[in-house]
Amino acid sequence: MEKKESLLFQVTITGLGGQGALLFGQLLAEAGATRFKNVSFFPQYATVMRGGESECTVTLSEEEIDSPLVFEPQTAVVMAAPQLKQFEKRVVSGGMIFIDSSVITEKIERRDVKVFYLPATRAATELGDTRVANLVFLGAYLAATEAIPIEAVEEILDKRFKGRIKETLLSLNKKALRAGAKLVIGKRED
Amino acid sequence: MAEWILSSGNEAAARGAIQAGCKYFFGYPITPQNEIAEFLSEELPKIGGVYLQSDGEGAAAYMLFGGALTGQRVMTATSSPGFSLMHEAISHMAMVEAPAVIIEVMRLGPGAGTGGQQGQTDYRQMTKGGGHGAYRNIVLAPYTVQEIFDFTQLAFYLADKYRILVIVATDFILGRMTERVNLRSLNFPPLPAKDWALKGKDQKDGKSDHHMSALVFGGIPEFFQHQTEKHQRIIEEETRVENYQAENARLIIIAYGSTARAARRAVNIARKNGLEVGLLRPITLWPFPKEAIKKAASRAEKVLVVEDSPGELVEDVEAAVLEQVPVHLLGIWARHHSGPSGLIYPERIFQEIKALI
Repeated sequence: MEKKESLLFQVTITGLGGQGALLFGQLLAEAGATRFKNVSFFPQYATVMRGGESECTVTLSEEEIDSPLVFEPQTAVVMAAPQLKQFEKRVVSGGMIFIDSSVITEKIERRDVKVFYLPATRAATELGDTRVANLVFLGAYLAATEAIPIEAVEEILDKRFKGRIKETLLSLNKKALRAGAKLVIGKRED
Repeated sequence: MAEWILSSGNEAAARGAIQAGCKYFFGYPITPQNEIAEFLSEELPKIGGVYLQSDGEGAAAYMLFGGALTGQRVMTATSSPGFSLMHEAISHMAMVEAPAVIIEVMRLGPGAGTGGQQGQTDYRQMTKGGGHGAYRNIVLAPYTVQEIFDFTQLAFYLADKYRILVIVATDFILGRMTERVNLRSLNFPPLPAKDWALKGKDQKDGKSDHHMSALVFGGIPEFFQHQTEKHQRIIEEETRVENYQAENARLIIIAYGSTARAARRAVNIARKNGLEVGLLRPITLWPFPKEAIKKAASRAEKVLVVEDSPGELVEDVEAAVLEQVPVHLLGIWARHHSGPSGLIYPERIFQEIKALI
C-alpha cells in the first residue's frame, strides 16, 4: 500500500447499542495499531444493555494524538437515524459521512462533505445476518479512505475470534467486510 | 524494549498494579471502574494473589486497611459514590499511616450521579480529604493510558515511601479510552523495610495491635507534628506538573486528567492560529503545584481553568495565582450534551481561548 499523504485518520461511528458501533471501532483500532505509531479509541455509551446511544471515535496517526475526543471528526459513520442531524453539522469541511440508506431515508444538505449512502443493513441481511452491518461499514470505510488494508482487519478478526466462534461466523464477518468495500468502489462521489 | 499492547485505561491500571507487585485486591463492582476488578479477578489468582469482592465499598476499604497493615501491597478501585463510602476506613488508615493505593475512576455526582456520565466532580473530596481528621492523600492525575500504567506503579512506591494513601485519579473518559501502552517496569530507589507491619504478635518480630496507633508518637501534638513534617517533605519532593508550551504564553490553561487532554488539543489548534497559549497540567493534585502556577501566572496575561466540574480546581488555582492576573473558569456548563455523556470538547475550549485573547 502506498504511503498516504495525510497521516491522520479519524472517524466517529455512531449507532444504537447492539449494532456493533464499538466493535467497528475496536477492530479498526487494533488493526490500525499494526500500521500506525499512535492509535486511540474512545467509546461512550448509555448504560443500558440494548438500544441506547452508542458511539466511539478512533484516531490513527503517525503524530502524537493530542486528544482522543473530537467534536468535529474527519469522518462519521451513522448507523441510526437519531444521530444523523448532529453529525451532519459536526463533520469537518471536506470530510466524509457514511449513512445506512436501508434504515435512514433523510439526505444530507451540506455540499462540502462527501456522502456515502450505503444499504449496509440490506447487504448484511443478504449475507445472512443483519448484525454484520457494522463490518459492511468498516469494509466501506477502508475502501473509501485506504486508511489500512482490509487484510489487516481480517488478521485481527482471526486473532480475536478463531476457535472462539464458529468458522462460518468468522467467514461471514470477512464477507461483510468485502461486501462493504464493493459498495464503495464505483460510488465515490455523490 | 518492553512489549506494547493496546489497552484501556482501566486495564492499564490493573496491569500497573500487578507490575508493581500488588497481589491483593479488595473491591465492590461499580461503573465505570469494573474492567479493573474484572481483569484482576482473572489475573491475581494466577500469580498466587487474591481478588476479594466484599459486600460493599465500606467493607472493601476495611479489607484494604487490614491488608495494608500486613505490609503487603494492596489496592482497591472504585468510582465516586463508592469512594464516598470508603472514607471512614480512609480516615482511620491515615491515623495509623497504612500505605495503600486506590484507583478512583470518577463519574458525575453528587449522589449516585449518573453511572454512564463523565465528570470531574471529586476534586475537593480527593485533595482535601473526604473523611475527617485533617489528613492528606497523595493524588496522581494521569492523562494518557501510558501514564495510568506508569502512575499506578509510582503510586505504590510513594505509598510505601511515605506510609500514605495514594489515589490515582481517572474518570469515565480515561478509564475507557484505549491507547498503545509500553508495558515497562519502572525502577524506583530502595524503600525502607516495613518493620512496622503486623505479622501476628506471637511471631518473631511480631507486633501487637497497639503498635498501630497515633499514640506511638507519644501524644496528639507529636502525632500532628510528625504528620505535618511528612506532608511538607511530600510537597517539597513530590510535586509534579507538566509544562506544555506555557513559557511565554499570554494565556495559560490549567487543567488535569481528561480535560487536560482536550486542552492540549485546544492549545495545538490555538498555536496553529498564531495564538500564544500554553498548558500547565498538575500531575499531582495534592501536593498541588502552587509555585509553578504562581510563577507562570506572573509572566502571563490571563489564566483559564478548564475542569468538568462547577469549579473546584479553580479554587486552588486562584489561591496560587494570588490575583496577579484574572483567572477564568470554563466548567461543567461547557459540556456538549450530544451523545450518551456530556463532554467538554477541544473545539469548545478553543472558542473560549479566542474569546479571552
